[in-house]
Amino acid sequence: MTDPNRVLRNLRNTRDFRAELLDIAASLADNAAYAAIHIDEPAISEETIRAEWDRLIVAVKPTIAKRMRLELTSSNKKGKDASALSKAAAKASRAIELERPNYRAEVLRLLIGASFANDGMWSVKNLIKKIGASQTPVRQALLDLKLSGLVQDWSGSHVDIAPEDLSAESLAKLQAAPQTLRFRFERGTPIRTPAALLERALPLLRRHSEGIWNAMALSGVAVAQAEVPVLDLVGIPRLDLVAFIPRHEKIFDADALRQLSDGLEYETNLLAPAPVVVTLVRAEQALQSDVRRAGVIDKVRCAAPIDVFLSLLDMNFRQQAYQYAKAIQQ
Amino acid sequence: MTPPQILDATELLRRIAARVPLDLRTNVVIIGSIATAWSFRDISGTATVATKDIDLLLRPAVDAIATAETLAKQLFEMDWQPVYPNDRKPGTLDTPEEELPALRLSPPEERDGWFVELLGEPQAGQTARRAWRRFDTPLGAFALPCFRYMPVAIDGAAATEYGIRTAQPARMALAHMLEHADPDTTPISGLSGNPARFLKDVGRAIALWWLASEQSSVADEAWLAQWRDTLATLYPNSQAEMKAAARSGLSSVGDYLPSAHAIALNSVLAPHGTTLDAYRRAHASLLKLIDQL
Repeated sequence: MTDPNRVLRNLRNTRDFRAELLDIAASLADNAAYAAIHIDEPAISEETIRAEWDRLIVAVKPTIAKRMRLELTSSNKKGKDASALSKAAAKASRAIELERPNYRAEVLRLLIGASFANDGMWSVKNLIKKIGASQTPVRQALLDLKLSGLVQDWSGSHVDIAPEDLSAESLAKLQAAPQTLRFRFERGTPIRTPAALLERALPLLRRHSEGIWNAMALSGVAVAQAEVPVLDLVGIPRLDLVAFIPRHEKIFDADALRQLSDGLEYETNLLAPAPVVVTLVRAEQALQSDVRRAGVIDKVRCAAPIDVFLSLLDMNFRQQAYQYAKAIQQ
Repeated sequence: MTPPQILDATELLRRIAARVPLDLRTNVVIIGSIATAWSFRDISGTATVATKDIDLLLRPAVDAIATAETLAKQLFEMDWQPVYPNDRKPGTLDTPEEELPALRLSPPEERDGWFVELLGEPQAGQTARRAWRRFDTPLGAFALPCFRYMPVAIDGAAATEYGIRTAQPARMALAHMLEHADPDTTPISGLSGNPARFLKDVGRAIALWWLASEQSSVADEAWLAQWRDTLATLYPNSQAEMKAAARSGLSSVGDYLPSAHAIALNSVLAPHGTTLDAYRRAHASLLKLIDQL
């Protein structure tokens, strides 16, 4: 007996499908064999093929019909059609290319952190050591910040900053804002509120596992409210995370963010509202685990006050950011 | 073909448990789509499911026949009626086991609606994909279909407040994947396109994982722990082989994800409209999870 299975590639019309289907039925009439009609890379839609199957199969004798089956092969492997392209795009969107470390942002971050900790002035040498980069870019970043008037230079070897001089606008103007990755819900997926996203983030930030979640900490309003409950903030406008990424990394694999919600995708528009924002910290010191605090919210890794402060500024909660900074310093 | 109904898992569990004699309730485990709906009832829209058959697995294997006979007698007395979707009628003493029908019973108040189907735990050492075990009722002989990986599916079944237990999604998924390490291509005539059995079963495993990920951001931990526990209990000397078998089963649908997705969308994913891209991602992340076993 010849092989009753059939493969139809690049099927372009239902006429060919009907002919094959009836031919298979005929080949099964005098035996007890099973057969599949396999449609590979159809040019017509899957729905059309299924509808045609449903229409015809009832016309075939039931004892034969139940031995026949339809198989549709995924076309995503060959990268030809729209779904393949969208898959490639989706994959690309998960591997996000990182900007080079922004040393102005890193210098500012450390200086504000020192100010919060009442460490006073910092030596330039100490700054270079904490950032872990070579002297030239750090000194250049410091020079730019001094010229802007944000950083106070004391005797050429020590520097200082006043957090209340900062705003989202000044950071943007100076290109001293840290790199942020914003995520939105892709079309057609269920929307989760920031509060629901926070609930899902907490267990991920409690456990110790391999992968990007181990290098992340909770930031933003959630941490600010936990530390300073009197802050003039109600609810969670977005979920803020900080990711501690080594300076040499060039790619951020955002796939892990799908554990928060399967429908989260990278938002390239920096001005669009985003339910999840990840701020990247690239300084060497940030990679040490002691900058992630577990005592603020029951064993949840929380970002340092400076990162919480910067995230409040990023949301344009300037007054609340200063209020937070003041409370932390006391 | 009667279309599947939208059934409420909690209501069904309550009604079924009420009709199972108290002393038999520990011998019954609900598996399949109702167990799924029950496990994920806290996810919006998942408390109901599009189905018409409610699978009751009778265990332990040694008591399955006696349980089936007692349960059948009791339900007949309550005017539950047998359903014969394949026109296969009850047999006699001479009917071979594989020609006997499974016992499907519909409740008196919903003759054209849902029905329960009795399945049995396989006897130790069953290697065939499916075995039939005869049992007798006042209407004649029926058979309990016993699938070889059912012990995996019902291991650690969760208790409910109704005294009846339900299978856990992680274990049901594992059972489906193991079952199709060698894919069963038998057509399912009740579904559009007569898809191969493995597409429905392995596709269900992916759907269960997608639902689990919706339910909890750390579902991976729970699934791995349950899988490890089950494999250590049931296959202490062949865990590596079982892991390879599960991976092979899951890989078998890789080229057919649109078909598997279409089937799942008409069943446990019906309330969610899960996109094909999301389904593909669930398949990929489930493969990664198996690699962590």
